[in-house]
Amino acid sequence: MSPYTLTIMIFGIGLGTTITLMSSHWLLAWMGLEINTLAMLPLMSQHNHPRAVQATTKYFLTQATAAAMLLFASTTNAWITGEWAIQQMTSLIPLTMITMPLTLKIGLAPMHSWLPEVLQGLDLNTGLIMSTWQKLAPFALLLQIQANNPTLLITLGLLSTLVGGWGGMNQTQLRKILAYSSIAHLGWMMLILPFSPSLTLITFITYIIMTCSTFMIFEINKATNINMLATSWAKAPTLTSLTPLVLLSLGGLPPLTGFMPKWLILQELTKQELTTTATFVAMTALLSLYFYLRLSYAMTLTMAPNNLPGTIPWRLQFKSFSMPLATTTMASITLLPIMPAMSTLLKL
Amino acid sequence: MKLFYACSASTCVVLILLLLLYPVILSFIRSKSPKFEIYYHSVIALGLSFYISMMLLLLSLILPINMTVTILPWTNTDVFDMDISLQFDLYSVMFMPVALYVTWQILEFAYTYMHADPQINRFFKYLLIFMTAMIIFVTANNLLQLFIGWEIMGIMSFLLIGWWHGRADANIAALQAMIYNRVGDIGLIYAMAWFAIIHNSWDIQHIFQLPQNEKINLPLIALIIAATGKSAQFSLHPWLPSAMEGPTPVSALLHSSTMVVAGIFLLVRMNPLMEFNPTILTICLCLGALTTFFSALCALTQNDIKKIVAFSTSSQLGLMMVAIGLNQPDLAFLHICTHAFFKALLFLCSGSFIHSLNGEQDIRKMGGMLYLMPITSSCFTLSILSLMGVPFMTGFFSKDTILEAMSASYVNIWAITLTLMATSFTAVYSLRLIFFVLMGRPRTKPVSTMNEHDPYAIKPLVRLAVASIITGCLLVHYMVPPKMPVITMPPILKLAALIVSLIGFVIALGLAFMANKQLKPKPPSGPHHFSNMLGFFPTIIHRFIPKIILTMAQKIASKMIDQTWLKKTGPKAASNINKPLATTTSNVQRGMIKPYITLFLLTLTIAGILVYFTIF
Amino acid sequence: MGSHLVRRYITERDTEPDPSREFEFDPHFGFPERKERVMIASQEQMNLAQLPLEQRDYCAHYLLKFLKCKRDNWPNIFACKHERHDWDYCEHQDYVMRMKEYERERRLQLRKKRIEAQAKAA
Repeated sequence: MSPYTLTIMIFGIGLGTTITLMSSHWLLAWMGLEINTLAMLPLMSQHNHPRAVQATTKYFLTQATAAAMLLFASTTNAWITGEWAIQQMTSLIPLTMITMPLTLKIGLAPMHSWLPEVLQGLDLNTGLIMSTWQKLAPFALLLQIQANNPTLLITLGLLSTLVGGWGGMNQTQLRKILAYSSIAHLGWMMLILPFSPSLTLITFITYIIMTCSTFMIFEINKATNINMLATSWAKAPTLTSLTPLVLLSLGGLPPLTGFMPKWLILQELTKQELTTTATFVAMTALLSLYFYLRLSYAMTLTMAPNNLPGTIPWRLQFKSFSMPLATTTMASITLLPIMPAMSTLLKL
Repeated sequence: MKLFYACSASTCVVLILLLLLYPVILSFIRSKSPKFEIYYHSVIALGLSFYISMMLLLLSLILPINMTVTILPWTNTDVFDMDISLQFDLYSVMFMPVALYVTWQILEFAYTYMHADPQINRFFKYLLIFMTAMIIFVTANNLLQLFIGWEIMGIMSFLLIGWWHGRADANIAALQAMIYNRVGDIGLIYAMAWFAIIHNSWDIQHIFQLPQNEKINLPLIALIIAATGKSAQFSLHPWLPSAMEGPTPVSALLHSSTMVVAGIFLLVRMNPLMEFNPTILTICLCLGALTTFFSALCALTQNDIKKIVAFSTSSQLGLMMVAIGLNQPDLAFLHICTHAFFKALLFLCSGSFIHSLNGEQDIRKMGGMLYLMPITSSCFTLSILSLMGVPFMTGFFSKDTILEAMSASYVNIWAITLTLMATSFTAVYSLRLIFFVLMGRPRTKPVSTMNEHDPYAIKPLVRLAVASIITGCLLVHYMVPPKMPVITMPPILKLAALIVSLIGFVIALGLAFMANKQLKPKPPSGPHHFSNMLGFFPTIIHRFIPKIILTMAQKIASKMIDQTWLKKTGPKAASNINKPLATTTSNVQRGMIKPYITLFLLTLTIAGILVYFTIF
Repeated sequence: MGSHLVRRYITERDTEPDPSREFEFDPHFGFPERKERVMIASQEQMNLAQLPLEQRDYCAHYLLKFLKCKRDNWPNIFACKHERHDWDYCEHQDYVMRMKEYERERRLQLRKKRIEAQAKAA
């Protein structure tokens, strides 16, 4: 792909999301989403590999379905209430009809099934964009819809955390595991959305930080499945020792950053007298924790027998340590102490 | 005068201890000593010690008083003082010559029996250390001294039973003795702890003088447990027959005449604490009666000569316990002394037979020894007559007195009956021994190696045989019993012991002739099995109870708690529940875009319907 | 052995006296002229001989003689047959006396029961 095209496409991705974020009108928001999707597609298929193309096709089909349904729902809403504003949704049916495509776009269970497969078809950099930036626009829309149905969102959230946990358990492919991790985290966000949108935002931000560092770590290690992690000690020893902390942060263990959103969410749920839900969602976090632990084990806690060439990277100079990796890794490990500041700053 | 007595008595004891330890120390100093050196030294040491103790005994005739000699302070703390102190009363003064005499003879005999053993020096060393411990035990006026003697005896018993440690049986028997004795030791330690805490003294004479109340039952029961373990009373008795795995001199010395009576001796020593305590006395009486009856019953059908003698020892120990229960500790002590002679003789004669028959212990394979080994056989018969309590033999003076005292008392009729039955059983198994070992024709292997030329084998037997005849008379004349036994009774009671013995004898004789003729070729009956299998006691205690514990450990601890609750319902259940669900979740991912979109539409429809009907 | 056990456990369970307790009836009952027995050996003598408590009975003076004889004849343990027999005989007499007292107590108990039964019947 020529650099010019790449620039335009990346610009398109940015523009689409920005339009959506800035709009208060459903039509404009839809437009932004469409621009974003269309700009993403060439990026996804830039390697001209059948699997990438297949992933692109799947992405296109699901996003198109979602966009069509979104358009349909917003017109219906305008038809019923005569109102295009995003924050002025009152009618129940269009509200539900508009929530569903948005959750399809961010990949919540049971509309999650496209996400692992699409992510598996991409390289890790595009995958990073897919699992972070691409969620931003639909997520912003979901945040803006007022008076959403809490039962619906809680159901979707719980289903997502469950599916995220169970799906990830059975995987050896890192990108699929990350996709399921994404599903589980978004489930947490949906769970708390009806009660405290600012907590949703905090969760989203921490998730983006943690998943960024994870993707970049895997990128550096050139690892796409669990077995390939076994040689990471030879490639980047320091990073190898830090990775379990990042992964456990994803899993939500204190005193790492990932504990902060889970802690606050559980507290908020308890305050809302949803103790059963809180207990249940805490238990589902264990399912996710299982595969994070498995990754840590394969990567750091054990040293698998290896052939001689596998150990050669030990001798080589390793140059691709990047500033973003350092920043996100440290952030995903050590942000817990600034929790009060974060929860104050991000109050919506 | 008293000072003279005290000085000479303690000098005697110290001299005896030094003499006994001299060969032991010698073996430490000289790394390589000739083969029988320790043996010669020990025999001389024991002989000298015996004469010294005899001097002490004679001295005590002039001054028949209890005397406590404190040699030197041991530990002095603000709250608890302890002195090394010796007690010279009737018991310690009289027991020392008896034990030393018996040990002397047994050691001399052991030369023949053990002369082929490569470790013979160590064997005699063990015996000497044992004898030292025994002297420490009987003269102790301090519970700690007493305990030291008690424990060294236990250890020596363990080492000597397991002397032939190449044999699994010997090792098992040694361990068994150790474990049963530990149960008894717990009793002694408990009693010591109690006296230290409540009476704040370990000095035996102090303890006697302190006020007694109901609470003293606890340490007294602990002392009875200690005696039960050491003296092989019922429920802790199985180690004594097993201990016959050791060499015969060891059986003769430790497991018939000296060590096993330590438990009874302890109770005799502690008698002032229990003489006005009917509960404790009744416990002793019943325990003793049960032991004497049960052991005599087990002895009836055994075929191993040493086992029979061992059970008869156990039975006699039970009789001593009965005397304690009758509140006649002097009679118990008298029986300890007389029993030592004839039982040691019985064991040495058995050992002699076994040695001559190349280690054959089964009485069914002996027979006709009367013609082959006349001297040993005579001694054997003498000791058995003494054991049965034939009038004016040594055993008669103590055994008959105990039985008379019992018959004339108003105690438990059940205990009296059991003891009398045990007495008649004594006659039965004694006759059985004589009948099978001495009488009839030899059933041994044709080539006989037996001879009676070795003076070291014969002299001790003869000396002990003489002792088995006269010592009872001597002891009775020497001893002025502090507690007057009952001497007034109708003839039938006076003769009760003799009558039951005679009845037993006659019945046994009839049975013996019947057995010869095989009138009823039937398999052995239930009571025979009961007696032959030692009352099924070892089966129950050594197999059944451990089996229950092990089964419970397996079922409850391992299977139920570990494997079921902690594994199956915990981690395994979590994995089993989550595995199918994880598989289901993965199975949705089949790479088909149509189901995905359908899933979306389906969710949308269902959510729409639910919202529409406001069920959500 | 036999008869008193049979009485105690079977035939006379309510009236059979317990030898370990004090007797119920006055020693002078029926014997008004009876006098208390006198110890011959004095307390001082027994103390000097260091006799244990059990031996300080009415035969103690014979015992003291016996012990003295034994000491005089040391080391001949077979001496003092005569003294020993005196002591034994005294103990025997003592035992018989005690048994008589016991029998008296037993019969008095029986008599008391009989009288009570008559009173009840009348």
